[in-house]
Amino acid sequence: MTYLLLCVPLLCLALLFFAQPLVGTTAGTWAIDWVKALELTISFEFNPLANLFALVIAFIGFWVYFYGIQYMKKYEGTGRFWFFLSAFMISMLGLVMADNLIAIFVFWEFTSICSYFLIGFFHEKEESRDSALMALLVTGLGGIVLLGGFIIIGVAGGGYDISTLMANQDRLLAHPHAQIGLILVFIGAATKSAQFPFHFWLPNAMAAPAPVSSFLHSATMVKAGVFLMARLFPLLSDLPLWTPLLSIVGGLTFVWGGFIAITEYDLKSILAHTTISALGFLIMLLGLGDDYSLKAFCLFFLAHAFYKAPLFMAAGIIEKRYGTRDIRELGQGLKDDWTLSLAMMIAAISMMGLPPAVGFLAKEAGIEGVLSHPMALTTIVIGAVVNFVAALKICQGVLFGKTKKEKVYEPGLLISIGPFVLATTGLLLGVLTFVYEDLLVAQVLAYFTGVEHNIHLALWHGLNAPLAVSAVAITLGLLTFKFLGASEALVKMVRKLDFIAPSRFYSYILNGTLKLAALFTDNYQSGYLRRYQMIIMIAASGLMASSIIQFTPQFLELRIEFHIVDVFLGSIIIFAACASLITETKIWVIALLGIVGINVVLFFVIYGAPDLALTQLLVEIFTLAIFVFALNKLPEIKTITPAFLRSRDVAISVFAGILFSFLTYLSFTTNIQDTYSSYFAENSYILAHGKNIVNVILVDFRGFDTLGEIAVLLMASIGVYILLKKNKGAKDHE
Amino acid sequence: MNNVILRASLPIVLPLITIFSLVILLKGHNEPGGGFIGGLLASVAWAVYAIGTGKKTFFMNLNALLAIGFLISLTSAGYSVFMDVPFMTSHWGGPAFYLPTIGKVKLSSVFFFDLGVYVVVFAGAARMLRSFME
Repeated sequence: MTYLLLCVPLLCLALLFFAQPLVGTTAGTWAIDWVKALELTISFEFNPLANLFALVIAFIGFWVYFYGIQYMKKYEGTGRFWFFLSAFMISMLGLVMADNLIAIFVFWEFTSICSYFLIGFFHEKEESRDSALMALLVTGLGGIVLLGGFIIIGVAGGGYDISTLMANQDRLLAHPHAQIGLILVFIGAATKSAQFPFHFWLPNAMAAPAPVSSFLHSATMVKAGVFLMARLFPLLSDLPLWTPLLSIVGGLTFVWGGFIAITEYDLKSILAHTTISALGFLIMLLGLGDDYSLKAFCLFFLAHAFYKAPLFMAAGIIEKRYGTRDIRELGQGLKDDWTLSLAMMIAAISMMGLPPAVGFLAKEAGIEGVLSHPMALTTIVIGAVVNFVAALKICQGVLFGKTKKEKVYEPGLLISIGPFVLATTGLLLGVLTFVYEDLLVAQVLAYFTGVEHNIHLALWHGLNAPLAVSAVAITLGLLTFKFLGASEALVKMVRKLDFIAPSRFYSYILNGTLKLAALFTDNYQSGYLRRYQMIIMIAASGLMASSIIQFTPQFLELRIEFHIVDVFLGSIIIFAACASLITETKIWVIALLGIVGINVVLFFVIYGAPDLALTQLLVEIFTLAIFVFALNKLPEIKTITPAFLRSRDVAISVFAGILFSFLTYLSFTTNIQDTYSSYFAENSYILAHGKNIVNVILVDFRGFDTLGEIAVLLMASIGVYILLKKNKGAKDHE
Repeated sequence: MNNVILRASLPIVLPLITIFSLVILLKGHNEPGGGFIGGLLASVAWAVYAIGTGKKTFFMNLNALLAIGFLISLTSAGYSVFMDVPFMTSHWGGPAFYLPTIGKVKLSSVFFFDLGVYVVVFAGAARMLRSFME
C-alpha cells in the first residue's frame, strides 16, 4: 500500500509535461491574485532554468520516495514524514517556477519549515532537535534578510515580478541601492545554500533520516539558494559586485568544504562537507558568469544531484546494515550487496570527475572557462583534488577496507535499486549527451545570456588544455590520497583552522537570546494575578491619560447641575464604597458592594435606560451567586502587605478612578455623542428594523464589538474553568 | 442547602424564569431585552436551581454549548461574506411569525446572532458558576 505514495512524485513529473502549456514559458500566463490591495500576484513562469531544476527535483524525488518506502518501514509517525516530504518537494517545485519575488520568498520559507520538521523527525533525540532548530534559525534569519533584499530590488525596479524587473533592468541597475539589494539577497541564498560562513548548519542536518538527507543535499533545500542566484543571473549579473562576491565566497566554500570533508571519518559528514564544497563550486561558476562557466553550472548541477543522492542513500543503507557510519570500522561492503557497491562506485566516478560520467564533462567545462584566470584555475584544481580524495576515501573505506563489520540488520535488496538507478543515470548523462544537451544545457544557457547557443557535448575533445589540467588534478589527487589521506597532521591542521567557523557564534547568540527572554519573562510574567492587574491598570490609565490630557481646559469649564435624587443616590454609593474599604468582614464587603451596584441600577432606571438597568441588576445577582460559592474559600481580610505597598496601590486606584470620572465628565462636553445617538435613533428602524436602539446597536450597528465581546466571554469562561480545575488537580496530587 | 420553600417552589419558578428569559431574548429587538440580558437571566435561573437542589449538572456539556453558541453567532455574522457583501451585513429574508405577548418575530441573521449571544452568555456564566461550585 505504501507504494501508492509513489503517485506523488509521479504526478509531479506528469504535471511537468503539462506545465509548459499551462504555465507558459513567458511570465504571466498563469497567475493568482493573492493580496489585491498590495498588488501581490503569484505568477509563474516555466523557463528552461525552471525546467532543468524541476525535472531533477521530480526525478530524484521519485527515487527518494521509492527508497524512503523501504527505509521508513520500521519507524513510527511516517504519516508526518510523508506529508512534509511531499510538501517539501512541492514547495521546491513552486519555488523554481515562480516569477514573483514574494512568491519565491513564500515557497522559500515553506522549504525551510518543511526541512525543520524533516531534520527533526527523530524528535526524541536532542541532537536531532538541535540540528533542526539550527537549520531553521539560520535559513529563517537568512530568509528575512532575503526579503529585505527583495524589497529593495522591488522598489528599485518598480515591481516584484522578475519579468517586470527584466523590462526595467536599466532603471534597477542604475539605482544606488541595487548593490545593497544584491548583498542582502546573496546573504539569504548563502544561508540556504550553506555558503561560508553560514555552512555550519548543513553537516548537522544529517541528523535527518537518510531519504531526507539525500533529497535535501541533491535537489532541494540547499539548491534553492543556488537556484535563486541562477534565476537572478540575467537580472543582476551586470552589477559590478556580482562577480567578486559570488566567485570569492563560492570559491572559498568550494575549497573549505572539501578540506574538512577529507579529514572526516563519518560517512554522512564527509558527504555533507562535499555538498558544501559542491554548492560553493556552483555559486563560483555563477559568479564567473562566462559561457563556459554557465555551461559547467548546468552540467555540474546535474552531476552533483546524480552522485550525491545515491551516495547519501548508500550512507543510510550502510548505517542501517552495520549500525555505524564510521568509515574506519567499515570495509568489505562489496561482498554483501553488489548493487549498492556498484552504485557507489559509479557515483564516486562522477564525483571524482572521471570519464565517462557527467561529472567529467562538468569539470572540463569549468576548467575551460577559467584557463586565463590563474586564481580561479587554482581554486578549481584544489577543489577538484579534495573532492577526488573524498570520493576515494569513501570507496576505499566502505568497499575495499580491511575490516569486516558484521551486519546488524538487513534492509532488503530492493532498497539498493534507487541509488543504483540514480548513479547509472549520472553515468548515462555523460555518454548520451545528445538526449539532453539542447533542452537542459543550451536552452538554459540561452536563458542566462539571452543569446541562442548551439552546444555539442562530448567526452573526447582531443588533447587540449582542460584535459591536461584534469590529468594534473587527478594525479595530485592520487598523490594526496596516498600520502596525506590518512594523515593525522592534516586532520589537526584543518581542525585548528576551524576556529574561524561561526558555529560557536551561533551558540553564543542562541544562548544569549534565551537568557534575555528568560529574564524578561520572569519579571513581566510573574504569575501573580495582582501584578498583572497592576500592570494592566497602569498601562491602560497611563495611555488614556496621555491622550485626554489635552481636554483639561474643557473639563475645568464644565458645570453640571445635580438633581436632588442624584445627590441622594450618589452619597449612598460613595458611603457604601468607602465603608467597604474599612470593614473587615467578608459578608459586609459583599453586601456594601451590592448596595453600590443596586444604586447604580436605580440611576439607570431614573434616567431611562431599562436595558442597562436590567443587565446591571442581573450582573449583581450573578456576582452574588458566585460569592455564595466562593465565600468559604476566600481568605479572611487581613493586612499583610507593608504600608508603602498599600499606599502605592491606593495611589494607582485613585489615579484610575479620577481618570474614569474625568472621562465621564468629558463625554458631556463633546458633541460626538449627539451625532451618533441621533444617527442611531433615526436609522434604527429604517436600516435595522428594530425599535430598541440599544439592542440594535448591540447586534447590528456595532455587532462586530459584540462578536468580540462574546469571544472574550467565551475565553474568560474557559479560563475560569481551567484555572479552578488546575488547582483542584494539583490538590489531588498532593 | 436545605430550604423547603425554595425547593418546593423551584419546579415552578425555574421554567418560568427560563421562559421569561426567552421572551426577553425575542422581545429584545423592539423593547428592552436581548440576547445578553436573556442569557444572563437564564444563567441566574439555573444558578438558583443549582443552589436549591444541589444538582450541578446541566442536561448537556456546557463547554460544548459555549462553542455552539459562538458558532451560531459567527455563522450568522460571517455568511454574508459568501454573498459578496461585507462581513456582518444583516439579512432579512427569513419568514416572520407572531407570538403572543411578544409580537412579530422575524427570522433574520440578526436574530440568530442574538440567539448565539444568548447561548454564549448563558453557557459562559453557568460554566463560571459551576467552576466555583465544584
